[in-house]
Amino acid sequence: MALYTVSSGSVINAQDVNQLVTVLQQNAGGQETGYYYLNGWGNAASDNFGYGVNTRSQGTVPVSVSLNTSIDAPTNCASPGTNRVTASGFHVFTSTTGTTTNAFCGGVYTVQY
Amino acid sequence: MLHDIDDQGNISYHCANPECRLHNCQGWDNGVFCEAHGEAQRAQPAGETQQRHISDPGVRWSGKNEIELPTCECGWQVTSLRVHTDEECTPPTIKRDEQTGKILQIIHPAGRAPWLRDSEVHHLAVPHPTLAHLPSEKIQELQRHIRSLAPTAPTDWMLSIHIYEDIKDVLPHPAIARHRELARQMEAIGKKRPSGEQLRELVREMQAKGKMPSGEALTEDQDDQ
Repeated sequence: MALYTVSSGSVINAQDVNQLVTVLQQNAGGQETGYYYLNGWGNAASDNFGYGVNTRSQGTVPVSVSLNTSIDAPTNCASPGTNRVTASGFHVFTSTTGTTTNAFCGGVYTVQY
Repeated sequence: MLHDIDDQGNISYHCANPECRLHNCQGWDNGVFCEAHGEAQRAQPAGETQQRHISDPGVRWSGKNEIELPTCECGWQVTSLRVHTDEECTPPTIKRDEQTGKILQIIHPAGRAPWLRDSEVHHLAVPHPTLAHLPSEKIQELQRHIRSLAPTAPTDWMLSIHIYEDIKDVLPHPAIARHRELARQMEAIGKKRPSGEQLRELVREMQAKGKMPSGEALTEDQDDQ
């Protein structure tokens, strides 16, 4: 959601402050987007690699997590997936499609609250 | 982005890619925000919605509390739906005004599922409190400016717009019930919920043995092996 600034001298309303509060702890209906990138290697097919993504919002367990591969399509690896979705973040992972020293994919994640 | 699930296990959902023909955010839950379209969300034409059955191999558990939906035909999105636990579905604590009963504060402990607010936003016009500190010529200048912008507006005081939210009720997020129902139906047809490390180890072991290609659903029979 786009954030706005309050001009100098204006009355500050609750919604002005809450736009920042909801970034830190999303309400129902909110969304957070961010960057992820997976890069690894494997000795064989189906070798898994991944990492934990910290969301900016902390405290609310998301409803869903989506990934795209708009930065780099999967190369030498399967489509990325997510699990371990918690109030603090989630796990993003993929697996190699064969022996490789350079498997990668990346894009934007969207967390729905 | 699960829109619906019926009692026969048919699900409909939309892709989060705004360029995809299966991105149907207009028909989504009221009050749920679409990052791609923002305020223009309600003006979006109703697109098509992806239809699948829960027996589809692409509908599978990806974790203890996560269900993965099939990758969209545009090749863009993988969605994990979170299945919230009973504890996470506990309602937030609500503080009310003792006299009027109005909701003053909603305390949402960490680690809970999101709850929707049923509320109305009001705009209240009051004299601007900072006027008293301005010199009279500055006030007159501002009044002339207001008169030029809105000839019928009262100009004997400057107005300040206060915005406040009147919260009527706090409701469970509608997607939570759908995700829990999806989990219940998947378990009923044998797509058993994995526990802890079980999923990752099992998938790795079965893929290594060539028993399960990537993308195949985890079934109860396979889990028992």
